[in-house]
Amino acid sequence: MTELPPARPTHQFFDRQQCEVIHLAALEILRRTGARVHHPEALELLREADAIISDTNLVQFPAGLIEWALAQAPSNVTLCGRGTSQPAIRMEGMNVSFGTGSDCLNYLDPRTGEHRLFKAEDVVACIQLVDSLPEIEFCMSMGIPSDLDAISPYRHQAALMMEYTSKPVVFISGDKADCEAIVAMAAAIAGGSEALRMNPTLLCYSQITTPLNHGETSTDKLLYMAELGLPIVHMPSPMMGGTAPITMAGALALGNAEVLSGLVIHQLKNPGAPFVYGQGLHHIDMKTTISVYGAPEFELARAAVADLARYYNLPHWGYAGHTDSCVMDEQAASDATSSILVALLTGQHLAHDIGYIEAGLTTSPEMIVFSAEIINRMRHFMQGMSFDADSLALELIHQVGPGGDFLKTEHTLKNFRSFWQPVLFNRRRMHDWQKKGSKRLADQLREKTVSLMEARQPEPLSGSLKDELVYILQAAR
Amino acid sequence: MDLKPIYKNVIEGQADAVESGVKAALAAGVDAGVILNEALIAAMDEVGNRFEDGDFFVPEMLIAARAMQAGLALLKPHLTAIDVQAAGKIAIGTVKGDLHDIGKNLVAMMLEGAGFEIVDLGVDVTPEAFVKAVQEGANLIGMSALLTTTMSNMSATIEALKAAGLREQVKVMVGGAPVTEEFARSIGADAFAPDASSATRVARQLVA
Ligand code: B12
Repeated sequence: MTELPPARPTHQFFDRQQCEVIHLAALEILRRTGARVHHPEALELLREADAIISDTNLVQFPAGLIEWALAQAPSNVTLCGRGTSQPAIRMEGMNVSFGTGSDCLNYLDPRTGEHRLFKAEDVVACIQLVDSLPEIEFCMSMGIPSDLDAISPYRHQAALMMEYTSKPVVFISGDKADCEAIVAMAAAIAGGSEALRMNPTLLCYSQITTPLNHGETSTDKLLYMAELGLPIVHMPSPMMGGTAPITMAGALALGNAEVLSGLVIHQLKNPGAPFVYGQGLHHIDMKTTISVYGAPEFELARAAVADLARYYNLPHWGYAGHTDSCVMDEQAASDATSSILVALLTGQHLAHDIGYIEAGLTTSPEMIVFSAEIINRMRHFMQGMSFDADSLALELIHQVGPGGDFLKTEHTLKNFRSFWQPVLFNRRRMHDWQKKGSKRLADQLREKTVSLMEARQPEPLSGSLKDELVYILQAAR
Repeated sequence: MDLKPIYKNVIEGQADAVESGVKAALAAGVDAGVILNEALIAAMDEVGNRFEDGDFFVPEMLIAARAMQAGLALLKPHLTAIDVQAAGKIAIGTVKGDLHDIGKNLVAMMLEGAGFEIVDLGVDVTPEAFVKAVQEGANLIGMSALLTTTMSNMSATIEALKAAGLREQVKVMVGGAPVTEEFARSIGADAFAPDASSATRVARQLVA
């Protein structure tokens, strides 16, 4: 019998031709409509590269320039954990890594159920939680502490992440000075900027303003990261019906034009510098006016963006484990489940925002722990099924024969552990479940979250490195 | 003359029909202030109610506002200074450093639908630019901030208004996801609103 490789669930939304339509549409937008670039150095780079600049800062891009930039950018990017050259995250193929989101105002405290402003100690507790969950592979800050420096919280957040987790960090910054301070801290930990460039432990997240606006501060960050050769995801968040057409094709084409024009600026500064493709395409709810996180359209947009990035052979940014619900409830669980499955099926390289509730205004540690359980479950689903001789087990079927049973066989003993074993989900029958305290999933989840948060002591940073972080933070003031 | 059809056409967003209705009412000698209040503004109040009840969606509300504006444009030459003043002139923008403008735009559109004259200062608006707008006649300013890091520019603007000796002649309204009633009070703003429809209600109270 011929042996086949394992079968795995896959999902493809766009074929090449459909990707090409969106590509050509973006080229047309950039040639005909153009984009505004509010940055002198970027304008100069574009002028030298034969882009057409009119009306002070309106740039029209020749198609060749965009395709040149696409050919320069590396096709894969890896991120390392603290103090190792071994990649923790490889953004390639259908690989998916999950991480949290950044900067929520509010914290839903699992111990008290209280919904309140984030404090620095909550941020630390959340980072430690991320560090303890193997399913969460990179860290974003989760909260903006209300009790820390309100003018420049970003470098404080970054310092906390570098201190309390050894996982790769994705950071937010207010401006280039923040980026400089944050990169300096990471370089100190990595043992120098060369070492950091070879084994990057961090990724800069910055935003293009839809429609078609490259702001001064965000372009500043883009050029800075390009110059250092450190990875950046520089992306727009087109909001269908708000800042972008309400139809997905138009919004996707617009967002694509924005990313590609950003890529051109980035590659002109330093050809070959690592760039992560991203589009936070989503829509505005016309009843409540929120920017929606839990919707079939949101998930279709993720599939579209992932396929488009793959068409360009670029590493890319994704979303999972988020909800519009204000608490950790059935709605949140359902949103987490479907978005995580979609992230895995569509191969979103960096799926962030795990733990976001209230459409990105609140972080819930319980949502993070719940999502971890679902990630685990769905990774089992994605493993698919093997077709090798041992899996087909024809010999065994023959030996056991009609009327026998498989329970006592060596084969069962050897393989039963490959089945998914839930931590939170119940499989007890009623009497047994009642005996164990009649706990609903929500009760289990709260207990598990609190115990994880109480138990964890991450690998400490050495005293001298910690001093160095403090020094950089203070010098930056 | 029956103003009901104008009222109904505003709710349904029929700008052309509102225009012809307003023309006919003016020709029939109905007072412009009465048309404004009993047909146009009353209709927008109803639109606001339907939106809050979840029966109307944002685009429907905006199209009703457009119909209302079409009628208002015809009324303007006939309105007395008092009628116009009644609605108020609001200068609105996102504060310095903040580029999140979707919420601000929604609030501006709603206020416009409620009959306010809007001066949209755009994004990343400095305290000086708000001051200038007040010097140019705005009697209300609306500031929006979505970032914790830019909220402090709201109080900077209020301080700038004080320094320019203008604080007494203008009402200040603030909003945006991180902004709260308590924060608004602490920086000496006159009002806060959590969303676009309550923003209109609050704005009306401020200028009443
Ligand atoms: C869309 C979005 C963006 C878009 C903005 C596009 C645009 N043209 O506006 C882009 C991608 C550019 C962006 C950029 C950034 N963003 Co942003 N963004 C959002 C997001 C997802 C939605 C905001 C939104 O439009 N909501 C829909 C509108 C309708 O709601 P709203 O603004 O709250 O407005 C309503 C009310 O608040 C009120 N209101 C608003 N203004 C006013 C004014 C008055 C006078 C009144 C009375 C009422 C009122 O009425 C409105 C209608 O009901 C939020 C998350 C969230 N859920 O809010 C993050 C969020 C606001 N962003 C955030 C961050 C960190 C950033 C960046 C710093 C990230 C980065 N480093 O690149 C940059 C900053 C750019 C800058 N300098 O401003 C954080 C803020 C955290 C914080 N507390 O500071 C949030 C909360 C996300 C998060 N959890 O990380 N963002």
